[in-house]
Amino acid sequence: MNDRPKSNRKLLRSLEPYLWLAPAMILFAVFTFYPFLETIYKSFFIVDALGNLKRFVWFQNYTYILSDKVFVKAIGNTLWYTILTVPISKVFGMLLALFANKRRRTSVFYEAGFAVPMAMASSVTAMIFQLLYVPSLGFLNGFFGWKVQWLNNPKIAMISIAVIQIWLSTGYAFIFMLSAVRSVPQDVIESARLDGASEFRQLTKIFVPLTSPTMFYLIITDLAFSMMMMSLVNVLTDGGPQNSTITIMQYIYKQISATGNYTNANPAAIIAFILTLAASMLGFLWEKKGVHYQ
Amino acid sequence: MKAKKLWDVFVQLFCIGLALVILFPILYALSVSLMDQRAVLAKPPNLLPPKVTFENYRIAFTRTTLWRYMLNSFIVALLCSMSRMVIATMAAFAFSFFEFKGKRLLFALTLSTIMVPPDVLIVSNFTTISRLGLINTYLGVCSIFLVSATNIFLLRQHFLSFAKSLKEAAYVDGCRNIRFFTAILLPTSKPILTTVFLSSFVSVWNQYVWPMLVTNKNELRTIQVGITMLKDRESSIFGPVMAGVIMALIPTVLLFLVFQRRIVAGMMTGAVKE
Repeated sequence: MNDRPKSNRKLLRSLEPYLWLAPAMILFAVFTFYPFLETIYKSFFIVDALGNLKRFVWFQNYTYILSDKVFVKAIGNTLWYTILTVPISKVFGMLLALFANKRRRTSVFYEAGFAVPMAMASSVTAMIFQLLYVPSLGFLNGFFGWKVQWLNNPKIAMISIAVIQIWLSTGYAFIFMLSAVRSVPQDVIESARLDGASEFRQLTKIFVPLTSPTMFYLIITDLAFSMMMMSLVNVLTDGGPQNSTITIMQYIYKQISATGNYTNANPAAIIAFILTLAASMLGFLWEKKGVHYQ
Repeated sequence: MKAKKLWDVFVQLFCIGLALVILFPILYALSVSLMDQRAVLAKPPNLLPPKVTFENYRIAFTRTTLWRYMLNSFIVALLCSMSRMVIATMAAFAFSFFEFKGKRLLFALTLSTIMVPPDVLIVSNFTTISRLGLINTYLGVCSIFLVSATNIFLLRQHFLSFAKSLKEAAYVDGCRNIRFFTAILLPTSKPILTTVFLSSFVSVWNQYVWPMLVTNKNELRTIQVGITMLKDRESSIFGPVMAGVIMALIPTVLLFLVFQRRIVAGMMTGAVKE
C-alpha cells in the first residue's frame, strides 16, 4: 500500500518533461506537421470546395496544373523575382556594411537609417511605393519628368515590385553583414595593408571570404522567403497586368479564395515547397565550394 | 592627419546622405500625410508640405476604422508574443534541463519546422481554422503564430549556458522544478525574454497574408490588411491613406529604433554556424 504514492510520483517525474513540451508540440502537430502531411496527401485527390476528398487521381493534379499556362507563368515569375531580389539586396547590404564598418561619431544615426526598412511591413511599404509609382501624379514620374508605367507595363511591373523588395531586405542584409564585417580580425586587415594590398584586394581576399558564412545564411533564408512572396503583388497588381506579376503563392491564394479550388491549390503548394527546397540545395552546394569557415 | 580627419567627415556626410535616400519613401509618406489635398495633387509634386495640416489624420481616424485596425493588430501581436514567449520558455526548459526518451527526436522535429515555409501550409491551415469555426476571430488570426521554433532554439542556447549544477543546488535546497523555473530561471533570463517578446511583436504586427485570409469582417482586420483596403486607385485620397500608413509603421519602427540591439540579437541566432 505504501508503494502507491511513491510510484505515482515516479510516473509523474518521468512524464514531467513531456508536460513542459506539450503546448509547443501540440501546436507544431496541429499547425505544421498535420497540414504538411495533409497537403501532400490531398494533392493526389480531387477535392471539393469544402476540402473533402472526392477521387484519388495519382499525379493527375500535378500534370494538370503544370500544363496550366498561368501556373507555369507563376513559376517563371517567382524565379525571376527571386533572381532579381536576392543577389542585389545582399550586395547592397554588404556595401552599406563596408561603408559603416568603422565606428564614427554619427554611426548610430546612419546605421539606424540603413536598417529601418527591416522593421517595415510589406503591405505598408507597398502602399508607399504605390504612391511613388502612380503614373500621372506619382513622385517618380512627376519629379524626374518620366512617363514610365511602373505597374501597368507587363514588361517592367515585376521589376518595379522587385525594387520594393530590394528596399525592404537590404536593411536586414546590412545588419547581418555589419556584424560579420566588424568581426573580421583587425590584425588580418593590418598585415594586408602592410603588404601593400589595395582596397579592392582587401575586399576580395579578406572581407568577402571571411564574411561568407553570414552571406550564405542570408541567401538561404532569403531564397526561401522570396519563393513564397505574394503580399506585394496582392496589394499592388493582383497578379496583373496580363499575369506578368502572378507568383506561385498568389496563384494558390487565388485558387482558394476566388474559386475554392483546393484540387489545384494543394499540388501547387507542394510544388512551391519542392522548388524552395531545391533552391536551398543549390545554396548548400555553393556552401561546399565558396563558404569559408574559420 | 588633417587629410584623414577630412576624409572621416566626408564619409560621415556621405553615409548620412545615403541613409536619407534609403529612408526617402518613409519620409515622403510622412510628408504627404501632412499635406492638404491640393498639395498632394500638385504638378510637379511637392517634396514638403507647403502648409502642414493634420486633416488627413483626422479623416483617417474618423471616417475609417483605423482605430479598430490598430487595436486588432495590438491584441493579436500581444497575444502571439506572450504565447511565443511562454511556450518557448517551457519547451526550452525541458530541452535543456531534463533527460528523457525521444529528446533528440523531438528537438529535431522542432528544428525541422523552420525548414517548412508557413505559406506552404496556409491552404490546409485555412481549412482547419474554418472547420473549427475560427474564421473572423482573434484566435483564428493568432493560431499559426502561437509558437516559433527559432525562439525555442534561442532560449535553449541561453539555458544551456546555465550550469546544471545551479539546478542541482536548487534541488538540494528542496526547490521543485516549478519553483526553479519561476523563481530562478525566469528572473535571470529577463533580457533574452525581452528579445523574444520584441522580435515576435514586430514580426506578428507586420504579418499580412494569413490575417487577410482568415478575416473577412472589417472590424476584425489587422492594420496591415485594413490599410490596403483604404486605398482607391484614385490618387486623390492618398493623404488620408498615407496618414494610415504612418500610423501602421510607427509602432514597429519606434520599437525597432529603441530596442535595435535586442531585436537584432534575437534575429541573429542560428545565423552563425557552430
